[in-house]
Amino acid sequence: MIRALIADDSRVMRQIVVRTLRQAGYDWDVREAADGAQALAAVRAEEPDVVLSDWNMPEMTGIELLRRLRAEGYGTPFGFVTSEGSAQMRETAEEAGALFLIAKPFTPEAFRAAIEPVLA
Amino acid sequence: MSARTAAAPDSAETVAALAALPDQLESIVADVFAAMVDGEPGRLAPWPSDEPLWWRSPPLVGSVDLRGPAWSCSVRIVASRGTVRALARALLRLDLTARVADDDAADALGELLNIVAGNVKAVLPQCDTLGLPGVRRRAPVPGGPCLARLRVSWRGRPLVVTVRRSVPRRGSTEPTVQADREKESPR
Repeated sequence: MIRALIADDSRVMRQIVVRTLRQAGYDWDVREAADGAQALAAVRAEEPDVVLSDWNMPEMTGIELLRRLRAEGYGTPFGFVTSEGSAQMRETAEEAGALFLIAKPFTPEAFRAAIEPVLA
Repeated sequence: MSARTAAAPDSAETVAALAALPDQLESIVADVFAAMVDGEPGRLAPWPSDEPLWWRSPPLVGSVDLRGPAWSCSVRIVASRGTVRALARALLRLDLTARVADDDAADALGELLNIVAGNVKAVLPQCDTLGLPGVRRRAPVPGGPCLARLRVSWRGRPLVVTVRRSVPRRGSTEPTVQADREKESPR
């Protein structure tokens, strides 16, 4: 069972990500957070195996969440699922310690291709 | 318009990107619907140019801003409330008769808009900030000139996607959406 934390301010998108993870395979134990601040609290409470985060969220953005986690010493595998996939954003994400960035719209195959190396 | 005449002319890169935007928008919307909404291509078609748009129920308007140092725009989706509920069902892979709460319908439209706008941002130079989407129950207010407008039929239901340039307020260096009271006709 892989413990995933999904952070997105859209409840609909969190449900789509959960469904897509299941379509991509593996057995997932999913927790959800509605923004970066909730996600930070969730990681502090119980560190998951992987964090999948939107970039653009109220309260605390995804990149702020990632930087905060790394500053606090958490090395939790972290990936973005975001509607923006520019080269600049990918570079910013990678520099901050993200392992992948899945751009929306996505397919289960894109999820599998991004996540499998992380879970290996 | 005096506020616009003070603005610097667009760069050659921006001019080229704006010229390509209508085709890009069509491609982006088709890809987003195929991957996220329908799970397959072919459920979107151009709305017949000689057929007026009609709304089976009052429209909802989703809008999100793209901002940059030189210029800004807003991306909007207009669809009837019934169509937005149908979009939410499709996104969530729910049964056709499943009940959808108002919040979930608005959330679905906002997320769809967010994905379209994020992909629009990728093809526009110097638009480096994507705002948070908002959905409201009123006719859209126009901003600046329309940069691209797409009228489509999704499963027989009309849906309009527009990209409008934002107009800087007089005396302000910050580009903002001009919110006047004029209603935008869906036609």
